[in-house]
Amino acid sequence: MRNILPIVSANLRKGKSQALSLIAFAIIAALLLNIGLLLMLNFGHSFEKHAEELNTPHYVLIQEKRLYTQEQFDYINNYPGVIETETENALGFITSIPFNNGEIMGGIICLNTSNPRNMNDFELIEGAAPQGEKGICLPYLFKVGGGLKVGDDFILNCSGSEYTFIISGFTEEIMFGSPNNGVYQTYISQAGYDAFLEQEPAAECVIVRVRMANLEDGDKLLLDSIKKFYFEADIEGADSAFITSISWSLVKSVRTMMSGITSTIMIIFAVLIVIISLLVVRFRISNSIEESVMNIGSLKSVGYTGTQLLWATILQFCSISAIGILAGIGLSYAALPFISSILEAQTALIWRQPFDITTSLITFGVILIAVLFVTLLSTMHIRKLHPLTALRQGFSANKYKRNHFELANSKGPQALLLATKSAMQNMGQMLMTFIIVAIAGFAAASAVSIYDNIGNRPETFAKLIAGEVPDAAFFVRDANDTPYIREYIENQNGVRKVFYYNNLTIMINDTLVGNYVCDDFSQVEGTMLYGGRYPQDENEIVISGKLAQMQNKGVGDSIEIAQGSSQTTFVVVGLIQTMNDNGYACSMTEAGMRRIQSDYLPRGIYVYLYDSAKTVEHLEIVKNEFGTKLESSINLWELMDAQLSVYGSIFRMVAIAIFMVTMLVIMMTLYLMMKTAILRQRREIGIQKAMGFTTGQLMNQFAMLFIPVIALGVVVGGLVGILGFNSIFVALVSGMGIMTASLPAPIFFTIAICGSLILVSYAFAMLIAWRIRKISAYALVSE
Amino acid sequence: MDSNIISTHKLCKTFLVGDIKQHVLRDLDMEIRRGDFTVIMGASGAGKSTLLYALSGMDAPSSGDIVFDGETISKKNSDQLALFRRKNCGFVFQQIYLCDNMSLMDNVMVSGLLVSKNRKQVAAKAATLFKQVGLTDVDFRKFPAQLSGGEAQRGAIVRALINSPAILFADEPTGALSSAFGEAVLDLLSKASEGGQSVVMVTHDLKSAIRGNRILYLKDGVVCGEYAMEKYKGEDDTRRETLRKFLAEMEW
Repeated sequence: MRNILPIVSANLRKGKSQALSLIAFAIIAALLLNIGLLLMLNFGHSFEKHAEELNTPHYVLIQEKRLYTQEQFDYINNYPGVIETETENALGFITSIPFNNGEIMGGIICLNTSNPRNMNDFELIEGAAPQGEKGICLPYLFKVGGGLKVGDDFILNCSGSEYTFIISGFTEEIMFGSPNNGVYQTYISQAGYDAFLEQEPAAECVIVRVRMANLEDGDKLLLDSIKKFYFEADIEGADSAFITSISWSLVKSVRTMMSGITSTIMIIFAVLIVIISLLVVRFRISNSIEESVMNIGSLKSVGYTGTQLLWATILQFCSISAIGILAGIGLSYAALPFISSILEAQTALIWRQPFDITTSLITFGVILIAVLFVTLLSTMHIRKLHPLTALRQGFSANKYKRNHFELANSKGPQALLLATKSAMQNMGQMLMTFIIVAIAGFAAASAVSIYDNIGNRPETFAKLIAGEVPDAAFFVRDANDTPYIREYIENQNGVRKVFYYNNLTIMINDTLVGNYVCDDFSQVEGTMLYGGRYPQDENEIVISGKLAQMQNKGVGDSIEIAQGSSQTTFVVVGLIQTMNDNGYACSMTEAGMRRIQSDYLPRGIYVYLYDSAKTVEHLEIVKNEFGTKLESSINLWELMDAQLSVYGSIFRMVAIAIFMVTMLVIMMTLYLMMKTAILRQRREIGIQKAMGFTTGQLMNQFAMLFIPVIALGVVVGGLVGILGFNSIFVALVSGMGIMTASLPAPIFFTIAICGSLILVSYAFAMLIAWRIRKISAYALVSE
Repeated sequence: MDSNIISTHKLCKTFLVGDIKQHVLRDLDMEIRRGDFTVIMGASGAGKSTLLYALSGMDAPSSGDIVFDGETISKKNSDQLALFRRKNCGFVFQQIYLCDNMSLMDNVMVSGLLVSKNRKQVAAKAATLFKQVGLTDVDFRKFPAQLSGGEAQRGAIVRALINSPAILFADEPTGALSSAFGEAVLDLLSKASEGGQSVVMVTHDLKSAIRGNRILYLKDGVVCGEYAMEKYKGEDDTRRETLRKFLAEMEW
């Protein structure tokens, strides 16, 4: 070891700038891999730990007090595995909620701050506890995702009356604090609670919180309680009542969903960067061996063994990589608060990650072993290299064998011909550049697609994840009023189509499933259906892909649906996809629904207008006409905008980060390749200058050497990115219920970005080639 | 037309070696005559090559003027000098300096296409010159590393002549060649001179110097002696003796 250290040290001194570029690659790879691994391995764990610290319930039931019975409490309290139960009165109702400069529909639960509670008690993150009748504390999500701040007004609508509160603070909520649950837990003061209850006595609910010996059993209790309370028993008025229940595991899966997707993207991208880094390491090693083959010969001739020289190379490259990896790991911890703040908009969790030795060691080990492996592969032949061969190889006459594009016979600009000749003579290097740039181009194109489809123009994405998105939707309080309200809407000017559309929860083989019931599927415009057809007869059903996989059913199979003690058989005629209801959904005709629930009447009316810009006007007309007969009137696109902006901001940031890293990788690759090429061709540059080539001509020649291959790489990578984007997207979100996607590839945007990449690369190549000015013709003869 | 193709006025070239200034050319006033085969001689370190590269626009002087065909080139920047060189100068170097990654023909074409856009014409002229220097079409398709030193240097002379330069600069053109190959190269330079081509050659070899018709002897950065002869017409003992005497006077 002592003998090889001077060799390593000399080699490191000789190639300082190239060592720096290798360090930079290692930093990027380690940074992304460590962040991805921390998110994947620790975010969920951190959530669990945090939830435990707050003594979070494993199951919660919220039900209107008028429907709540002692029998229900007894069932829950005596359920196997329940170790702690607590109940609390609260106010709960469905309302439009101010969010992100728009409104979302959801359930609001108002808790009295003064009530004692053991599970997930009032935990203030910012601001102060609510004071007076108007003060309210909201889940942290409303600050990070909803853009609200302390002191803002918060207007709620209950039974047609508006209540204005003033935000006094934000709290940490595990169970009812994220957008996907659709129910948000708020706190008001004793005075506020009393005043609100006096105004809205019908909104009084009972909350039952349960902790279990095994938290996973919360799911079982959730399923069994729903089955017991709502499917086996027939609670009068349950259809229109405010009822919700949730388990801890369900909440965790929803709240860690974005971190899961982000970590997958980060890890995929980190793997790509590691591959690029390994290619660069391989290039550097072959180049370094080529440059110092005579030194190798000299060292072997004085007695160094092949193994010693092999170890010297391994030590050289592994030490450089190790420095980069350590720096990357360090940087990843510095970047985590930023990543956490981006994710907060969806997770509504403050994630503070301390140094994690296991993850850091995995990152360090994986990258270093990969570098070690590539170094070994690239340097093995040194061991067998005869000293005399090494010494002579410096004067090898066989380096160039074929003369491509003879200048006497080839047409075209001289700079291009010379660059092409040079490229043909360095095919290995060109191929490597192509692969690196193609990978980067693919990442850039994917980033552009993500940015455009989710962050920029989310209409198709919205339809994909939300299913049916009309201009306006009305939910009628009393189902008996629905027909004439529909008739009124149909007769309004500007209305293009109207149909009934309702989402009810049913149970298929012990799985809770969202059931979309429609009176006329020929009217729907959503993109949920991806296989087969929509149901036409009462015994037909379409099921979601995720449910089909779980139940091992496909088109043509029959499926049993339980209601009370009876079972009803349906034939699967199609497959749908949705991210709602955890991906478990089905759809049937109204006649089909009546086979399960004979007294079913529709309450939801979906309306498409000729001009979507007139939605607000239309909503106002209908609301003014029917007032409190409507439970809610929703501007669906405004609602989607408010909800999607949360995803939009996350994906936008991820896309921008990917794009920036891609640019950096292309530029660093270009720098490394061009600098090496210029150094290797110093002599040729000097000769050409002596012959009368200007610096500008030579700069152009060198830029042209790499630009065609970079352009090709960007184009191929971009094409794969455009064509493969939907498959990649589906792979990322399939766990959430999306089975197929046809998101439009932003072709012009991608072309513009790829074109810009090529232009920027050319400008950067010219900048790197600017160093040619320092190579003089005279230096050639004077050195 | 001025009989001098190049003239210098108070030409100085100083190099900084560590903290010490080394004056290689000192206030040099001299001329290169049109059509002459000028040989620059001198002891090692006398400034022969420095003078050659200053005269050819390969290197900029520290001070003083160099006038080429009535145009001052000493004030030109590197790109202007590159344009000047491609138009007016041809070079033959001791180390040959052909681009390793191009065939001999491509080395010549690269130079030729800098001045002419007519590819066919340049290729035809190159083929003629190759024939004149005794290289076959098999030879000029080879890469430099596949040729002997003499063949490569003859190829370099073709490259130097492809643009019919006003002047040909040769820096120890036979220095790296065997005696037989060296003679062949010198014959080519003499032949070019016979055809009216101005040639400036730096050498320390009497056998090479005898080819010139004007010998400038450089000592400590100044021309300390000059000797003019008839143009070379073949081996001549008297010519050799006269030159030897001149060099002896110069304490060579």
